[in-house]
Amino acid sequence: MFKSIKLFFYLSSILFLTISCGENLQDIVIECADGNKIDQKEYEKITKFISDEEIEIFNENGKLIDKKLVAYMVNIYLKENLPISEKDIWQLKSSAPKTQSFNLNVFVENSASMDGYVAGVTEFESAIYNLLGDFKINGITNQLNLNYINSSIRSHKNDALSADIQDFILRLEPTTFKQRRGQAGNSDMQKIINSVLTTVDEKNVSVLISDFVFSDPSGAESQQYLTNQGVGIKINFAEKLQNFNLSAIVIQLESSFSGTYYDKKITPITLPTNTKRPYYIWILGSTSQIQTILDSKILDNIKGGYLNRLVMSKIKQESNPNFKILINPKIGEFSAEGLDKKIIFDAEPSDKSNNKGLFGFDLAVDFSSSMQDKKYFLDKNNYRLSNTSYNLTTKTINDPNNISLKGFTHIIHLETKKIQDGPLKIDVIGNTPNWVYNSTSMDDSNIQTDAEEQKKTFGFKFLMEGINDAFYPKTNPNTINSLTVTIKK
Amino acid sequence: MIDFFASLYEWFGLNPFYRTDFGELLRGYDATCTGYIDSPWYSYIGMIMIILTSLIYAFQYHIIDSSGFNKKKHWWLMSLVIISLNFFIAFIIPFNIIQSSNYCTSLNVAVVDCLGFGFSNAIWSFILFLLISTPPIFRKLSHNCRETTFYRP
Amino acid sequence: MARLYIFAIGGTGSRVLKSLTMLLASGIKPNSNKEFEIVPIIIDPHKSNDDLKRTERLLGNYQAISEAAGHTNGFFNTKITTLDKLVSSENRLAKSFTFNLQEVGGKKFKEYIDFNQLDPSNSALADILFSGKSINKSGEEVNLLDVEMDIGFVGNPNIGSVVLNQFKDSEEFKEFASNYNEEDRVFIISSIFGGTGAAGFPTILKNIRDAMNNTNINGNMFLQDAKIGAISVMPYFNIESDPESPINKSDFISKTKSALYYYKDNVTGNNSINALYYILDEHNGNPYENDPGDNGQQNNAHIIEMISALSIIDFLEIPDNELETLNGKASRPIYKEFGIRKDSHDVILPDFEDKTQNKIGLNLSQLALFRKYLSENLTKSVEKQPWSIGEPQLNKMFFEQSFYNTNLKDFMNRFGEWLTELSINNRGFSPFNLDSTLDALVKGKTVKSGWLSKNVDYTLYDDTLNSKSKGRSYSSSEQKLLSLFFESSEEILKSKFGF
Repeated sequence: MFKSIKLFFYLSSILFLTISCGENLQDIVIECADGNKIDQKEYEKITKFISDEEIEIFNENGKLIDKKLVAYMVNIYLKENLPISEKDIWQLKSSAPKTQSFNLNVFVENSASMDGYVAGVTEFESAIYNLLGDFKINGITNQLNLNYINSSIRSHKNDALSADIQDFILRLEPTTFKQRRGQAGNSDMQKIINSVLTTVDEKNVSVLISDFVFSDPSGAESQQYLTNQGVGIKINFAEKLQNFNLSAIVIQLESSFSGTYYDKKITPITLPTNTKRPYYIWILGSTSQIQTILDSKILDNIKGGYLNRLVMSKIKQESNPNFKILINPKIGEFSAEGLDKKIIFDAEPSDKSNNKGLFGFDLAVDFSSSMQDKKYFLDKNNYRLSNTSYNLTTKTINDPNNISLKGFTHIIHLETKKIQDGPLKIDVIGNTPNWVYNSTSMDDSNIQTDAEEQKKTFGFKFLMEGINDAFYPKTNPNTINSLTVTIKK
Repeated sequence: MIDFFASLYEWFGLNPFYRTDFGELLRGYDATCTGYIDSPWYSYIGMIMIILTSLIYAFQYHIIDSSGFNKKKHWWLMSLVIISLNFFIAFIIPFNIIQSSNYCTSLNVAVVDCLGFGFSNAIWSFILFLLISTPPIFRKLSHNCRETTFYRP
Repeated sequence: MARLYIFAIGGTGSRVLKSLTMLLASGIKPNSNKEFEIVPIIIDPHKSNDDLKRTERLLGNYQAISEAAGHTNGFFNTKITTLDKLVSSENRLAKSFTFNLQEVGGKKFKEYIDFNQLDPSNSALADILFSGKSINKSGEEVNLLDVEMDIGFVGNPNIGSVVLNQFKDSEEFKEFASNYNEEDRVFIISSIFGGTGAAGFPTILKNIRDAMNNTNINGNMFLQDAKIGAISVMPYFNIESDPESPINKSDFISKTKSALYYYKDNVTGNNSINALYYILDEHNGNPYENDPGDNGQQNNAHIIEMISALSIIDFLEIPDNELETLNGKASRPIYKEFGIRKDSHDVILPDFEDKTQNKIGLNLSQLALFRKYLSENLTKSVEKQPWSIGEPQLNKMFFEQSFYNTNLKDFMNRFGEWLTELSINNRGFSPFNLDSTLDALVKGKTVKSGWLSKNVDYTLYDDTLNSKSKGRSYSSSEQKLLSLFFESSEEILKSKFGF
């Protein structure tokens, strides 16, 4: 009888041990949250647990990626309603080289076609004024040098103060503009761009503001002219790219325009007062300078907002943004087992009536570190798939309360009728985005009455394609970001 | 080990009592939908099922070990206890998780899955009790229950 | 194996033999290196004597049981053999224990001694010797000479001695003598106050010692020097006084005295006997029914008979060298009496001295426990408990076969009857509460109880049976039944009752 009691107690104790041994990562992470701060000791306790338990989910190439772990921890705290965010978690300070500060050279095109943008108080004026003011305040720039440009560059003020900025742009009226025009003439786009391009170096970033409307000085307005311009621009940029790590931001904005528009034949057309017309801000600089500007979020806060934004950059190597395969929603079936290793096991098509034979899954991707505008990733033309039987659609993540999507910016949905074993490579490529084509006008003669035309820029695509070709030659793969998912049936 | 228990409870894919997403939760898919880094409930509940069933078997056959508690109706009574306990444990653990929303909410799970899992665990515990007590290898060590099985005396 | 030939003479002989059978069934054995096989020989002309019939039936059951189960199981572990294994004779019913007295049935004594052929002087002598009155089968008064002998000698040893003398010329005696070995022993049970016994004891004794002179047998030295023990049972019961009956109580004392005188010269005085046991008890208790014959004389079992049976056990414990006999004479005859610790009217086990208690207490209680289980709990546990299910199976079919259903069950009923009779007699012997719960079975022994210890009930009994049978192998179901219950009852009594 006593032997049995001993056995009984042995088994009971095993039972209780099993239950109590149930400490998992989540428990440890929550445990360390006392004081609403994670100090070095606690952080290292967590990393030790991860290595003891051989948890590999936060690893890349065998090494623990702190960013992933921190993202996970922040998610847990959000779920538990603990007020701990990224900044409360101890992190090894990375010795990132500080970017040298640079000068900002601003060039506002002031050919006659630009007068309409400064008549009265326009969005054009206030947006640029605030932008320049932000640059000044932010402290990432040294000197702010203000210039006008049409057939030649005309410096207005070097090392401008805020009063100078006001004078430069806010207080503009067509008359003042005209005064400061100098020799009026028609803008040769290529020349203008190139002059600005040459001022760009390690210490100087250039901002070019214009409506970028092409006009052939000869008045011929032939297709050939546009093409030639495009090629010329392409060559300029390509040359620059050869020995300089150039990046370019192109922002499309909208402003009220009251005044004269000069069409392709340089025929003046008076547009209705306060017609909404597009204009563009270009920022040219080195990749790190452009990155600094983007990181400062100045461009996101442009007064009145902007329509579109494009960033072009010399590709050093393709980056692999953080992404995860979502377990749901899915079309068909697959196992959750390999998802953290980016492998979809046991993929099976759906047998439900509305989706019969289809296989589909979602990826949550973190494009926040990309220089590209968020909307860039919504255009499926900007993607290239290794397996063309897949159909790709994307959307941005808008739900801040969904902790499973925390730390990701976009959802990519992939669907196919034919499952094949093997890797699926999803590339984000450098491309002329759709909005460029939508904003291009090929014939602006009816602009006075055609509301659609009023929103467009004549010959814009030639300009943009030219630059694009310089940054992303058609012969190169031009992969900016790449994700690889392995499918196994 | 978790795969062993998983295939057991999922009946080797043949007749699932609950949805596959629920199975992911039980494998330890964590609340942030990151991966299998949460508690592997399959293993825990599986181990508890094995140990609890063995304990109750040992309790009847070797600790109580009485000639007044060795008929087949007593075996069936104990199996009822085993089935109920194991059903309850397998039900209540994921039920609490679901009720407190402490799981990856993209998974399609519901209380009915907990019931299904409870049934699965109950059935396995019954089978285990059957397997332990039917061949004479263990019960022959008992004094009074060495002939007690589900079909006699 | 050595044999003990028991001559059980008369009604007392049958009853003592019955008690001995009960004791042997419970596993009581003499404490000696020598194993003895018992050969009972009942000598009683009163064939319809109920006691005789009962004893015979009992012996038959015992034999059947022990033959089927063997002799190493605790219970029934002494071999009892019938005379027919030794002798074949037309004089006897095949396979019975009784020696059939010749020419007794339906004959008057007068005819037996050929009275009418006697010459005048002999017939006058006979008249004197056999004067007096007796009653015949129909209850009428007759002269002694006219008495019909198939109801025994109705308390007349003078007739008995004449008739029983035929024993020495019988086939049985011849075979007995020729089979008798040096290691064997003889025991004679008789009452000193009865008819058959009083006469038979010295007659048989003389016939054995006189063996060398017996032309009927091949001179067997062993028989002359046989180790012979005997118990002479003196008055211990009362009978109703009945003026119609030739038997009356006051004659008991006078007959005892005259028999003792005879023994002084012919039994004890001449060293014929190696060991002589005496026993008696006050005889003022409940009177028996005064029934001389024909289907009568069924007396309730008495404690004296049981104690007398114990003398046989004692005799077997005496080592050979103390029973030395030369030329038909015992070198150092032994004489014994029996004492009790407490003179109670209803004797229970603690009333005996330690030696007796140790001898009979545990074993009798074991048999009582065995009986109790079989009658009260068997049906509940058969085919339900491991001891019943395990091989060899003790299943329903087994219990319907003759081993249990006829022999053992019958034996147990007799045993129960015997215990009941003993308890209602005066002086009574009632060591058990036969109808109580298990824990109150043995009087004078309180069951150890406590907070942690289990109750003495059938659950405990079954538990013990199951434990004892675990991992054991048995040669047959019968053997299993006996040895398992022997061991289990022993375990329960020792651990719970304080034996």
